[in-house]
Amino acid sequence: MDVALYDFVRGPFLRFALFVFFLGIAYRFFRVVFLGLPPDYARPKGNPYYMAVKKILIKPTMGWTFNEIFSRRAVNYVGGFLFHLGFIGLTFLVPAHALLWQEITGLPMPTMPNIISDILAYAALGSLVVLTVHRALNPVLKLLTGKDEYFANFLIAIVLFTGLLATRWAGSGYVWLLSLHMLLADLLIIYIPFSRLSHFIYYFLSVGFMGWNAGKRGVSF
Amino acid sequence: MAVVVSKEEIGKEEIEKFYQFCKNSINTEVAAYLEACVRCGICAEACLFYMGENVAGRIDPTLTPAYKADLLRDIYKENYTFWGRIKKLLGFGVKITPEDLKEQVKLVFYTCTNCDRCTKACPMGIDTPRLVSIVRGALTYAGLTPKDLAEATNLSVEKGSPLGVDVQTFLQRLEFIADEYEVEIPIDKAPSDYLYLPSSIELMKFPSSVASAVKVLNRSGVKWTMSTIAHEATNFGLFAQSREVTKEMLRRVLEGAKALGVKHIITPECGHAYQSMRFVAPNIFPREWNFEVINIVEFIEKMIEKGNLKITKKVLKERSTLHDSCQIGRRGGVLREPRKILNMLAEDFKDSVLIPEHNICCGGGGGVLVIADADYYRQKAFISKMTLFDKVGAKTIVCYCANCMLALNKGSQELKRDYKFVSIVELVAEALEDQS
Amino acid sequence: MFKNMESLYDLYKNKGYSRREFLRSIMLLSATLGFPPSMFPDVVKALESRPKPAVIWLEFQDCAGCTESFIKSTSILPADVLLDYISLEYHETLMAPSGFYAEESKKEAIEKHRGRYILVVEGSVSPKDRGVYCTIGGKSNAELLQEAAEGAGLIIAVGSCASWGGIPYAYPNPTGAVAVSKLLKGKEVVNIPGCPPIGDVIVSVIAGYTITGKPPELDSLGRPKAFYGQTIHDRCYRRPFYNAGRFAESFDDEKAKKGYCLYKLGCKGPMTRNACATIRWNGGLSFPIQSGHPCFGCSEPDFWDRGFVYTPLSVVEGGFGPKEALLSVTVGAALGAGAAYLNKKLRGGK
Repeated sequence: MDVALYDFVRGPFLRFALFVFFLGIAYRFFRVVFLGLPPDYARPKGNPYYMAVKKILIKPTMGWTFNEIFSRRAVNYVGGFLFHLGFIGLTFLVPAHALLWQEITGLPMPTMPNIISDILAYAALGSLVVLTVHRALNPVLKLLTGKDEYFANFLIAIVLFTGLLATRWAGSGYVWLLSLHMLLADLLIIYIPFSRLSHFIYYFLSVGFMGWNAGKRGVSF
Repeated sequence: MAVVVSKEEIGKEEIEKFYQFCKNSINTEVAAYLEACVRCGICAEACLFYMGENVAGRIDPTLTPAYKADLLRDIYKENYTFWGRIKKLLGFGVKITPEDLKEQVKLVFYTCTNCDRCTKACPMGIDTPRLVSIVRGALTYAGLTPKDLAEATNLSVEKGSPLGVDVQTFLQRLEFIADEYEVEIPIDKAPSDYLYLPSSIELMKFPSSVASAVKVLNRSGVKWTMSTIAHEATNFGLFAQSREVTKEMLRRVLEGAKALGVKHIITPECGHAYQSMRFVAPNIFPREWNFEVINIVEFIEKMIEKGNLKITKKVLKERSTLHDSCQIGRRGGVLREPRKILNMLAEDFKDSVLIPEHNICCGGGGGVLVIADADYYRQKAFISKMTLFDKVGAKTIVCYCANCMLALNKGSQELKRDYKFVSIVELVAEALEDQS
Repeated sequence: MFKNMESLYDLYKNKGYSRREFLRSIMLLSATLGFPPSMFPDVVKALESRPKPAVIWLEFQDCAGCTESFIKSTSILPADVLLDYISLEYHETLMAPSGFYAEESKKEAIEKHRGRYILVVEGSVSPKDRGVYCTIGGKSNAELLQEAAEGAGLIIAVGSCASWGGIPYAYPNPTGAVAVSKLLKGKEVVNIPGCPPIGDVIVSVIAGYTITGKPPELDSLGRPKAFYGQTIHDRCYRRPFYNAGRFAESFDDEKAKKGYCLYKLGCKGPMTRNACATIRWNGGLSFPIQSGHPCFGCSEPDFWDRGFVYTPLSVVEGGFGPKEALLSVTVGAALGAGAAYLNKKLRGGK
């Protein structure tokens, strides 16, 4: 029984989820890309293309220079950073996940030791909880937050939690927990294209445009 | 002729017009910004209006920049996304009430100066001013521009300037300045290389500033002139986001510049004048606009580099700091130049920010200054600006935008503070004066 | 003394082993069964005094591999003691009688040891078509099973076939094979899965029954917790390399020889519960992973049908490679471009 569920979530269901994910993400990305841009005849003051690439690469390090914002929103900064570091690290570099990516991309992927993935998992899970609580309490975030955010946070948290349980504390329930982890992960993969979690793909567009504008205006920041 | 109208009553037609304008303004860039928002709310802490309220002990979450684009986002969603369209078909679409539009007026006209600070803080790089501009444009299109702004805009189309400066007044003022400050002002002198456009704010309220610019220009030894056709640098079309007004104002500049055959246009100490001529005009007149547009601060720096101007004397003795104009600085790329010049001029210059792009707006940009209803928010914004001045302990603040100076002066007086605001060009003129 | 009443100690004495050797075997046995040290005197007493267990071993759809494994179990009881102690009253492969006499002796044993004997079943049962696919002495296998199970003190399903259905049960399952427990509803069946299971485990479970008179503690799938409580992965000697993220890339490469984890080669250790990594095979000599082959997962239900023997556990079964990814991205991009085109048309305006 547990094995049947396991085979389902790592077989047909995962396949389906991946199809939905890639299709949905590509759809959302290109739906925006092909809307078109009006031409810009103003002579740029800097190099917009260089800045666009540069900003995409270094944008996550830029916000930290805003001391006064950091002092008010350290939770967002530190929590957000830890969460993204943990989530991205776990998604790509845990051996089991890396092998999946290796199959999908056909490229060799590096893997990371358990000790690092454990630290990342605790960091990501902890910061996610803190961020969610913060979201529920901060007046600005209360205004901005919809159901989507809470659901996404909950889903990611439970995926992280079951993954952590499965690798560390499963005992004899290993296959059950692993199946549950994979089932929830499949749901998360399907959910990404339908939600704001797909912001990762718009990051490239949005930050790219921001860098492009910075290059056009000749500012460094 | 009333190009921009300010209606009191909001009916179905206005809402429909607003909706259509928003819908039609979406392109890749805008859609990317609207989709990318992750609702982190960090932009709130970067917004001077929110910060001001916060310092005063009140938190008004609706001042969050991300929230200002939410109606636009909803309209985008139901016209450009699959689920949005289905929702609309099922009757769960966006329902805009007159109250919603009134709130939008408050959000985009009263509490946003298009200062771009939130863009720099946003982890996703969302250009909120771009989105706010669209909402402003939609409101203007629907005829809901705030009354004061609409009047000033119409006046600028009618008479040539938002302060009602027509050609006659313009010449009178220049004559007055020439007499008062003993300077020689070339008008409609062809052939010239440079065309200098003053802004009417300077002309009417800070004549010394114009005089200083004239002195500097004369001193630099270039062939320059002013024009009676292109006599106004400001462009209220940008504030109201009315394309017709923007085009009309720029057309006058274009005609004046063409008539004189100049190659370079020098914009005055005015934020959006630089913005409109440097970045907007080439897109409105893609073929005809062949001028190099530079700001007066850029011009001074260039002349110092070339050796035409020499500054050897420090004219500012006391502790001073610099206030950046958002449209010239953060959104125009002129940030290094004023600092370089000010270091030559001031003995005790201390920058109030770590990185120039972090500077806070005066609170009066984007037309907020002329809207009387926005005074409350502007004063709150001044409080957040003040924190930077007090941080470095400067009472003398150097500006390079007349509109900023006006707004800061107003705020300072209203809150009974004793800051002194000086124009950088004036300081340069002063330093040059004493040398020869 | 009646031959069948011999205890384990009697056997050791008769074969010329010392008491010390007897105690060593018992120590091993109680350690394998997971008994606490405080129980040791009781265990010794039980094996000194209790008569040796009577075992009836039935074979249905099987390969006799489990029997092989059983008779090669030498780490606990010495080879010459093993088969004398575990008194195989009926075992088609090992017994001397045949035909009519064999069936008679089974009947006799069932009657004689009713309520006490241990029934070991090897191979899956095929009740389909009234059991024509496997008959012995004119009786269908299902019938034989019911007959023998009725008076059994303990029923042990040995091997994956008896425990889950195994290879006869694999698709398309022409004989309609089922697991033993499926046919014996309401009776407790101890499953000792594996293809084959470890002989020492079979011996320990049987000996354990003589000591305690009770079946061992079982998990939800009917497996003794003492042997199937942990996964191979949990006790694997290559586990440190898994934790450190070091993996062998191909069979018997430099890394595999260094002892790196075989996860990438398709090791099913993480989801296979068995004692291979602790008890090991051939008297504790080695086990598949130690000899460089990834775990097959042979003791897990339906291992044969799952078909991903040499692909890592975490990859998509059925495959999702660059081709599929590219295909879905292309379709998505095309749909996106179409949507953008439509949106642009509907946008109108400037």
